[in-house]
Amino acid sequence: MDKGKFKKLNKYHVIFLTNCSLGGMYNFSISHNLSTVGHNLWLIPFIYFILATILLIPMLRLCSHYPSDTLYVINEKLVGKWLGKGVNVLILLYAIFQVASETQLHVRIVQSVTLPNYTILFTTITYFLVMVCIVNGGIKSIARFSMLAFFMTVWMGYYSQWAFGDAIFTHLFPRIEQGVSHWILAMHQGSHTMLGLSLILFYYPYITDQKKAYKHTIIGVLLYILLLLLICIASVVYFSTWQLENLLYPLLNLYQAVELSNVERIENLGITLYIFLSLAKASIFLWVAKKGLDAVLSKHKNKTRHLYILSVVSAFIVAGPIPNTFQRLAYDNWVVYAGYVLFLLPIFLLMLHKIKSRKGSST
Amino acid sequence: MLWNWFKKSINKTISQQQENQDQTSQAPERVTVESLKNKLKNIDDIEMKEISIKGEKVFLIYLSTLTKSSTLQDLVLNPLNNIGDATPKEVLKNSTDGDINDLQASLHDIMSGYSVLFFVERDALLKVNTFSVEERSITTAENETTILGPQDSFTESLMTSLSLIKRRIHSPNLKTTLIPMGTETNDTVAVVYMENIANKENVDRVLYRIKNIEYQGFVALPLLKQALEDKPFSPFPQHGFTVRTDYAVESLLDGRIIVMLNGSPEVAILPATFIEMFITTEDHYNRWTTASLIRAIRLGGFFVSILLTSTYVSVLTFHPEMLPPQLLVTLSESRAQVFFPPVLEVLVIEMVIEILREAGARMPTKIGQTIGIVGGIVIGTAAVEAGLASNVLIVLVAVTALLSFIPPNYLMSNGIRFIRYGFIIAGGSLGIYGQAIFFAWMMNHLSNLTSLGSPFMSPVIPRQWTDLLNSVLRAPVNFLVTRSGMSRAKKQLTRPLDEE
Amino acid sequence: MKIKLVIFIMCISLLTACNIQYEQPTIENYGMVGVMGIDVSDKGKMEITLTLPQPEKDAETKTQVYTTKVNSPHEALMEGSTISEKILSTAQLRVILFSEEFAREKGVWETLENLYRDPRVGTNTYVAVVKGSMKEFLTKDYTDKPDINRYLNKLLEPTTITAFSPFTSIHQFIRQSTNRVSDPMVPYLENVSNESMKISMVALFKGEKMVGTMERDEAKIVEALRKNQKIADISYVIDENNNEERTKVIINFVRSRRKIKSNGDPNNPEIFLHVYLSGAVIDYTGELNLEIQEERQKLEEKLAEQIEGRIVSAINTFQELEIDPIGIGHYFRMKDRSKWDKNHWNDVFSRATVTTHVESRIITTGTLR
Repeated sequence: MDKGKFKKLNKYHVIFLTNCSLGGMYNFSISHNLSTVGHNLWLIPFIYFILATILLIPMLRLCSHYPSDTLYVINEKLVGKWLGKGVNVLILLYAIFQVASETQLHVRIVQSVTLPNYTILFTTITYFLVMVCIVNGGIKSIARFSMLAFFMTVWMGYYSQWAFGDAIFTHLFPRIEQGVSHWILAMHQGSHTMLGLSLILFYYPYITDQKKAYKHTIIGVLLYILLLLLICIASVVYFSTWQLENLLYPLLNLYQAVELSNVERIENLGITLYIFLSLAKASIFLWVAKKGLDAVLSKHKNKTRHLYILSVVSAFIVAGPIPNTFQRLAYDNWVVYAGYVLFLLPIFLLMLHKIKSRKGSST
Repeated sequence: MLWNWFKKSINKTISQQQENQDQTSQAPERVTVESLKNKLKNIDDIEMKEISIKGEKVFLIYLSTLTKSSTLQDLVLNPLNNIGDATPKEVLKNSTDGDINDLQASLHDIMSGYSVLFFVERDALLKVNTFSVEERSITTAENETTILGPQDSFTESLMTSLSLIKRRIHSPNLKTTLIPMGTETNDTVAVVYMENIANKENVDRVLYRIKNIEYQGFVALPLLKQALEDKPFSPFPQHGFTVRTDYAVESLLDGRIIVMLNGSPEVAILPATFIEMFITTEDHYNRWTTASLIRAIRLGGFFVSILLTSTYVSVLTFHPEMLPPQLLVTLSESRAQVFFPPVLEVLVIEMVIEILREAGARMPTKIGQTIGIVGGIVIGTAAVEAGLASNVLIVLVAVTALLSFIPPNYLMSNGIRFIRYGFIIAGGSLGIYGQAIFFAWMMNHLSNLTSLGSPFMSPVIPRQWTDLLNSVLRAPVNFLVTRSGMSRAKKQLTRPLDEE
Repeated sequence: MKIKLVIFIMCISLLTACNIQYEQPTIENYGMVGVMGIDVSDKGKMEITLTLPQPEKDAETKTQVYTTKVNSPHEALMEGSTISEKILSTAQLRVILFSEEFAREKGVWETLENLYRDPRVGTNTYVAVVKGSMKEFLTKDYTDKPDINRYLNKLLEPTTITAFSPFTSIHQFIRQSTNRVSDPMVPYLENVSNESMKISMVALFKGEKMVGTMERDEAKIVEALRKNQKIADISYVIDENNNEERTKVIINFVRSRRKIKSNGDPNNPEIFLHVYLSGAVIDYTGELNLEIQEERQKLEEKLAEQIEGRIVSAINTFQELEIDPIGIGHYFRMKDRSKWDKNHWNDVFSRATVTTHVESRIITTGTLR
């Protein structure tokens, strides 16, 4: 594992890290989550893309002022040591819950569809073992895994042709029936897929070509948006609105539409191959959490045991005796709002930076 | 982490060795008749003759098993007989002076086939290389056969093997560094590379690693190769190895470094990529169409071989809904006779195949073939009839077994067979999910492997786009103008492009 | 990493150990229900007949059939498992049959929704309606056919010759019935002799209940209206020279294309259907010389007239029943800006004036002129 150079992510790494930090298992439920706008939901990826391009600007502006510091360091520098540590703890908690929610979603789907006779304990343990192996190699290992994950799963887009073969294309005709509140609600419900965007704040210092980072990130986002668009269009033409509102995992049913002569019920394969995307996303968050624990406990020194501690904690959140209501509250509300805060934090920090630098120049 | 551990352990051994050396080097011994006799006692093939040259008392010491008497006669005894007025040093043209104060060096020379003349009165040493033994002749490569191309292969003698390379590359840029290796065996390792092509950093790294290995002695190169690897715990080999001369020369020209060990016909190629484990030189002799087809089969065979039987297990145990109706009827009919659960069924039959293979490999060739046929056919049919396995499984296992022998690299095919058991157990315990998670682990492991510091999975992990022309598919020769990114060669182009 | 690898292997082997304790059932322990037939029963229950293949060589018949009186389809599986030596599973369910009585009186929605919820049931499972008693239908000996599971599955698989029937899967049924515009259709099966069954008609549904049937010839044209596709051979009896002499034509329709237009006005709805059919003549008993352009056009016009008549009668049936299996509503909805739901559309559709225009082209007449 190369721990030699500090800046080690080339442009492909950045593209696929960004791509895999978005979506994950939430792709399975995205068209259900967006269903408050009915069949118009396929327009939302475009809105997401525009929002992403706007939100990335303050993030990268902030990062370019601190080219070799992660957000944890920036926090401590700008907000002050103790307050910064407090913020870091919150970010750390957010990352842990993100890991847990991604894992939980994956093992739940696996359990209910492919392994109905098992509890989620064993799947969670194996999932975390592999994830620890990935994160242990550092951010470059995760980037390589993301790249593999992308190419291992992207070919499954071919399967959408069965959905399009039995499609009602008139569903695509945009009829703006819903009010603005519906659209905002839909975007809020589907925002889980886009929350990983803010992770650029943490791996930015490792990028070799930081000047072009914005371009590469946008390519990564665009790749994901195209996938999202494919899923959304396929579900719009394949499902009625009732189905979109009532099916928990519409992507699963899209997989079920596939009819091959030698294999049936391809959704088993689809879910299990999604483990690549899921693991990639979860391991980026786990890496961020590890950096957070490093920042809080050991003054940014790399400590491998932090990784083990964090994975045990998040595995416990997933499979431990924690009430379901608490989990739902954490995943659907806290995590999402914390994600929004993380989007807005760079703007706030940028303002602080401006003030500080002005003060510095005046004195 | 692993590498750190490895380095730590190496450092530990190095420091221990240094301690030992310190102890021995405290009292340097002089060469005397007594000390020689003392050290060489109980070695019955030592000849220690007392002769007199021009009236001077001289001991001639040599190892009779490493020196033919005719060689001794030609190189030492005849010149000394016709000495006339000259000094012995003048007569023995290829003799060198030995250090009278270093007993260890003299002993080493004697044990490696030198004849040593010890002038007792003058306290002087003369040594003549009279190493002459029977050698295996250059034969065809039995384990890496090809239909086209050169047929000679390396032999156990380092000098012969080196000569086979030098017969093909007549260039002063072909450098050969000989390094003594092994605290007990005192054998020789040769590091061969093209100075104008190979990456300096890589060469230095290889030399550094070899010089830092302290071991009593490597009996064969595959053992030394493991000591040079970045991750010794991995089931996959991280360096190439071959006995074929053309492959070695091709690698040299690509900028790779070749490590040879005296006494071992294999040579190691550093660094190597994952995809090269599935490539033979014959691919370059074939037309590009055939070569591409065969390469695709080899690489596809790798995935089929590790996944086929485990998919059988997981589908039959966890996902019967994935079977199309016709197959469902066939499979459940043949499974109805079997009393094992699918995991055990597959493990048993895989084990049987493994045993057959092992038995065939250990037995004399003639019996081995018979065993293979008898075992394959009789046990296969009988196992189905006895209800040990379903007949579909026998076909699947046979296909997997055949596929696992497709990779030209023998170590890779062993690695595949090992990893397959992992997949079977994972598939038996968690179904397709288990397979996928094991696959994810394997992919992560492979993508983190490095060979001499370069990523092993190149060019899948993009290093250089032109590598794709010579990876899964082999482009026509016109397109192959750059050296592979893996070797990080000094010169990128293998021939001048038209524009230049 | 060494330690991690050891832990990993240990966990995996631990799992295998647990696995053997649980005795995870494998393929031969499962009874793979292939066909589920649902009929009415007394006291508001339903009578569910399950058939599954029996792969054991010692068994005399190749299928097992269980009939139980239960409240929901999964209860039938539980009941069946107690009788059979196998654990019944829905994983290989391929056909769901409803008796006509059940479909007309009780409605199929609840049952289908339950099966749709079960992730083990594939959404490509076919749905069909059967005439008469389900138990009789499924227990009959179809001696010259493969076992009933495969026979029914093959019969309901779309082929060109049976392309008149809609071949509805669970997914399509649910989509059509929950759609805000259209209604589902499913194939209608009946016993024709002691040894065979046949897709005789198409059953029309309004919401969850069956409301009527449609003959095959009309169904073919309706299929052509549903989407651009290849459709089945159609036979026509044409009055060629207006002299009461009947001529038979069978056309092998290569392709059909349709265009649906509407004015989008709910108060005064107008719908225009344009159908273009092109095909080859394979049977012809008339006297026209099809080599000559004019005479061929004459036949084409006659054909178009015939087809138009069928479309009009089909549309009339739909308007009477207030259903829209074709999905004309999709096109109407694009222009209609009023508040939209199914009742609204059904009401509009029943009042709509439908004009049809059919163009037919004879591409080839075979090797005879």
